[in-house]
Amino acid sequence: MVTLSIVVISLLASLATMARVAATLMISVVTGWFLGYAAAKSGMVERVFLSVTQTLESVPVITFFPIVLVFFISRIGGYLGVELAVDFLVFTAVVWNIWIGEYESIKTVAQSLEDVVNMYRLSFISKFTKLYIPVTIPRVAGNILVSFADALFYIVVSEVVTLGTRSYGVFGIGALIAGWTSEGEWVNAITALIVLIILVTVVVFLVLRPFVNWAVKYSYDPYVEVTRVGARRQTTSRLRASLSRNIRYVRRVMAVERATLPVFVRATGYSIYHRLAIRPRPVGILTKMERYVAIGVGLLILALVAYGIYSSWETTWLPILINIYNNWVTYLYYLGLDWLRVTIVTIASIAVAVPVNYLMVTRPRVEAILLPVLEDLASIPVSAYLPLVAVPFVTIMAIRLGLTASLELLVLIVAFLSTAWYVIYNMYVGMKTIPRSLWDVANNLNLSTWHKLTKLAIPGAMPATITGLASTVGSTWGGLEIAEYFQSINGKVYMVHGYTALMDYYTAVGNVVGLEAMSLILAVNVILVSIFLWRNLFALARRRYRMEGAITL
Amino acid sequence: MDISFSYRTERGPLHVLRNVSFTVYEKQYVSIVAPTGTGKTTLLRIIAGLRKPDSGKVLLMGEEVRGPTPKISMIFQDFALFPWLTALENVEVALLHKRLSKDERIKLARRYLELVGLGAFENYYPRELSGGMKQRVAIARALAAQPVLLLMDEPFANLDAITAEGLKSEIYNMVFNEESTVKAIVMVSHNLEEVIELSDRVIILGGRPATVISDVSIDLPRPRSPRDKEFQDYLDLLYGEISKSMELAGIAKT
Repeated sequence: MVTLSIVVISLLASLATMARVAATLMISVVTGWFLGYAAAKSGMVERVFLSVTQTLESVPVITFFPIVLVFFISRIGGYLGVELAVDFLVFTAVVWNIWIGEYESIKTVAQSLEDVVNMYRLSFISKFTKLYIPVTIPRVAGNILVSFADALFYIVVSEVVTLGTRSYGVFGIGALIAGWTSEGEWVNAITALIVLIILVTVVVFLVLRPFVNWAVKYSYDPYVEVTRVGARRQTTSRLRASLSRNIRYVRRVMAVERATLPVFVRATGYSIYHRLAIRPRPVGILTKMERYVAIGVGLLILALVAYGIYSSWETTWLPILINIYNNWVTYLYYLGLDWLRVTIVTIASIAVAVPVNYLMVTRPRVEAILLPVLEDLASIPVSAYLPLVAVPFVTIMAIRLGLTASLELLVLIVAFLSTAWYVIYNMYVGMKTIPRSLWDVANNLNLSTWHKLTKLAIPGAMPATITGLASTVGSTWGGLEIAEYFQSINGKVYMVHGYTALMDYYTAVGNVVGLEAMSLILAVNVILVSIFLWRNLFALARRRYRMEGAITL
Repeated sequence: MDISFSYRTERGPLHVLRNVSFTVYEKQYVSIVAPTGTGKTTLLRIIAGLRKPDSGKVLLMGEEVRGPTPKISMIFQDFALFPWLTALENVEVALLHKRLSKDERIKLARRYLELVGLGAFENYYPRELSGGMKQRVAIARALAAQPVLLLMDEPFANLDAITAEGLKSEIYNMVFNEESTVKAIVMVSHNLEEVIELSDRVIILGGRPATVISDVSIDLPRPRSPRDKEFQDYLDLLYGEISKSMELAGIAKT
């Protein structure tokens, strides 16, 4: 029987989870103002800032969570330690995107606005409140939906973690659902899930949407005229008059076109094109002094790291290296398997996204129904309902496919569900922000659906898709991590051959050395992928697919 | 004033201005004319103290300008209004450094908005105003700082022809009236008709790095009309000077 108390406790737990999300987003935003400002103003800070954020952006943080947890529990301990570990995890999942956005906004602030605050000698605080904070608002708004969904996903997973024989948890909806599921309290768990879904919907439609709407006024586009006031005077030249009339007409059409875009789409589109419009490499030029300081600080850090490794060589590093030496074939094989899964899921997401988005963009009625559903679905974390569906799904499918195949299927579906929404959403933003005139040309020339797709819709959506992929690959790994290894009610463990599954297993049995070894390999792998794959993809998107005139909010 | 300036780029210094020097006297409206990319805006920003020159200094009534100061106010090509502040709040920005009470500040800002004819629009955001009105807000802000010198960086370039015409006919009276503290104006432009219509003196820059090529006084009664013969004569004169400066730039390149 569903009693009131279950609803109340679910609501409280959901609110606790939301409070964590809100707090981490808030901290990311506020710290980003000052870091972004420092990076935009000093060539040295900028170099460090860019290499750190660009590398860490596509890192699947969740896979490092056990290590973080061990650290926080051994250093701080108790409930506070777990709480901080959870918050830290979510912080590292959402912060990069927000920081990059804020830095780029401050970096590209209109020169004339900056001149104004200098000319009238605004105080440091006034400069921030009147200029540097407001300019970051559109980018924050553009990322808010994805950041919110990301944060929710990670927080729900991390609220309960078993490390060796001990289980650590904090009060929240993820912990609640997982707890009730493992006790077989299905009705309670489903009730809690419904409460969460309702709350997410409320937040998306009553908090995030109005926020994005409000953010529109913060975008700087000096030449847009929304309303035109004042009588027209006697014209001196017909040509001039008709020219200015036409320019105004075009501007108004573009303004109307933009105004009819859904608000999230406008905001996300702004973020994407703003990001692509910016040169990714630092432009601040180092002074001699800064160069010496940089070399000094760099050497100092190197020395500290070297000393750190040296002093803990026997106790920490040697066991890790021995572990890697003994198991490297297994590790690399599993890593390969997981990359294969990530690739399959990404391709599947794109394959689904193309027709769905084309339908949405070309058929208003499909769009009217699908888009709000997508916005909401994107924010409901798979991690919340996975514990509920995993065991029944595998049990039913195993009859037909056998256990291995059905587990594999589950892994792929969960990873797909963690990824697909973002891919669909980002590609949608890309297709939707293709200027109307290009669609008109395509229709005018009577292009076939195939040609419209290959010549217009897909290349037009490319920049948005690529920027989207960089931040969704983390979610795919998150999906793998929760689905490759899970426990049923009676403590029976289901797992597939996979990197994150092995990490989960090590976590469960408390093999900290193995865990550290695997995290180290993953870290190296992630950094290499970031440098060689994502940066090149971004460069490609900048070079080939940038569309002029799509950058206003 | 004697200014040299170069940009530090990743490919080494790029010399933009060399020994640019001129004096602006009280009650003078001076225009600087030069082809695009000559460094006009850079020169204005140096005069305003927003950039430091490599060598030379800017003197304002005998005192060196060492950094940005409200005594030198600037009007920008893109209006430079804060989109998140209303018209009134935008004007208030120029008064923040004065440590007035909030009421006084609002009162003063309102007075300047009325001066430019926008008294009824104080609560509008820039995006709700037309281009001409935006530039009026920017003028009100520049005047509210109570500057001695007013700088204008192609203030009419982003307005449609009709709006620009209306604002041009008013700007002289807006700036040089009893309420205003402005003693002189320096405007940058590449529209020669506009320059002759408004200025007392025209300074032509040219070459790379740019130097002062010529300094022409415009001696015509106001209001001036492009249809007058003398106006046309000045136009021909300026065109002549400019083509000379273009030739110079060509020589510098080869």
